[in-house]
Amino acid sequence: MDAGSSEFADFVTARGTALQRTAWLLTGDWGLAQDLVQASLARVWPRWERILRRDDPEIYVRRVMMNTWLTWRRRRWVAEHPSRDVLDSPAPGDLAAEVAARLATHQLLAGLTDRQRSVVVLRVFDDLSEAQVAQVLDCAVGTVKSTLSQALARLREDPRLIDLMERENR
Amino acid sequence: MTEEEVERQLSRLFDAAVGDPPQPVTLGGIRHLIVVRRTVVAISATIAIVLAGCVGLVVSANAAGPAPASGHRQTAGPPAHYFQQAYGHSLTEVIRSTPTGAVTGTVRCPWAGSELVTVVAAPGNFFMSCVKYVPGSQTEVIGTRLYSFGLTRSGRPKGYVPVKGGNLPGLFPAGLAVSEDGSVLAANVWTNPQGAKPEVIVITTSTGAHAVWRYSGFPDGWIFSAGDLSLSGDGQELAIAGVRHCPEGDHACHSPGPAMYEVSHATKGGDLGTGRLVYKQAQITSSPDGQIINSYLSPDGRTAIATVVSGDGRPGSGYVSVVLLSASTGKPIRTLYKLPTGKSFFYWFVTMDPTGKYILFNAGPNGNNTRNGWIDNGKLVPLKPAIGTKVAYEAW
Repeated sequence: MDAGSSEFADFVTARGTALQRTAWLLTGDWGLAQDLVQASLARVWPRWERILRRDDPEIYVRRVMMNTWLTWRRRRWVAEHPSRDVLDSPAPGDLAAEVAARLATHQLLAGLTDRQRSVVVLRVFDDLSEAQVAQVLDCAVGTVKSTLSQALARLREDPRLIDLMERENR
Repeated sequence: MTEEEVERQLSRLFDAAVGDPPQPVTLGGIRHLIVVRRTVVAISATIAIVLAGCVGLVVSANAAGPAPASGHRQTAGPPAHYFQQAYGHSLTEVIRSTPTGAVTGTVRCPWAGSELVTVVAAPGNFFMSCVKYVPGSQTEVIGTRLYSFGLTRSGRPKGYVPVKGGNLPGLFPAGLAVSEDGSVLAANVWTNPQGAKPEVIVITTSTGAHAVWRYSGFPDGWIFSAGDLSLSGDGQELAIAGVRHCPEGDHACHSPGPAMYEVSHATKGGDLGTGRLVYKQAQITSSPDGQIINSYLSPDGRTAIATVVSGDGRPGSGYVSVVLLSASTGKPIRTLYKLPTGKSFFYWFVTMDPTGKYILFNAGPNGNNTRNGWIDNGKLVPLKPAIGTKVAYEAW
């Protein structure tokens, strides 16, 4: 294993789980999330040393991951069916209720466009700055701001978010 | 609610919902993808050169990414993955690759404290029943919940989704069937694992609507213990295989043995006593020579299969066979597979894939020697790994 490989291995160990969490919010499925992260990392590994010299590697990997996910979405591999149904309240320690909550969160995100979902996940969950989100999505900061604003406005009106918030506050 | 408040709430919700991935990303997995991509590029390029040379066309090499995440979907041949419940140090429930036998995922009931009872397959999806017992008891049930799950391209279960209408308080799922299109589920439910007041609940998976089929006995007075369920491709025909009994109990008469009945408009419910007789055992085999165990209707409703077992201790009397029969006349068409088992037999299961084409089989002369595979043109194709004696149940 050369130096680049060793650093790549360290990156996978350190950031693999975080990338999978982001990928889960995009895909709504742990299996697909792992496939997405692995596919993205497989694309960047051969160029890893060059990426280290030129870029913030995590931003670069996230950019590849977003592009890969958007490509998958355009091919319509994942058929999502957003529902207006609000699930029952959870009982403490009830794994099925946790599953239902995850499903509801996924449905909430499925109501957004792909671009809006990408911005919300990167900005809100990954806590990237607007400039970093713009780097990942290869667009202007102003576009990130307006897309985020549109997405939040849409979510604010969504009854599922209100219901989820009430559950969180119970 | 301001934008900042929405953002803050979303952040909390995401943190609560995401959790930890079940399996980490590994260098081995990434390296494997790189090797696969290079192989695809090389094969695509070779095909392009050959085609261009043959017909003068230029075919561009296509090094596209991974195939759709639908581990169970397939166009020809047996399903790419199968579910297996096996005994080892403990009971394990896994998904295996059909060609290699490798474990590609683990199946778990998402309802805390519940146990997986059975799994059935529809194209692209598995359905499973999870039962929770009263603590300390294996006879009193709190209830059953039904879930569905698909597989990723690599054969790992995707998230478990509660089936609409699949919450069955106080009931034990003795059997489960799903229509080929996944639109209808049928559950043969009892109030406890020993039976008592059985009925078949038919669930429309898109709405969660329930229809109930009850046993009030047949016009001739015989009562019926239901076993295997099967549904036609569109879920509107329900077949129930079971055993006919005297109303006064088996001590009072000689049971005529297994039979299969079929009812139409499955999603409306009603009385199973109104069902049409598909076959009775005497049409397939006579009781001293064989006994029907498992039986299923094909998705197109035109044929059925029946597993016949025999073995009374006399040398050569033992066999396990799978017979194809006409669903309109009840008469045998041909034997799909017959395994001679010496003087006795040991039987685990026969199950069918959602299309009715690929039949899983596990039986043998005794419990220490069973054959586990799928039936293909009169032969048994061994399933990998060859651990038939440990396999309790399989589905694909």
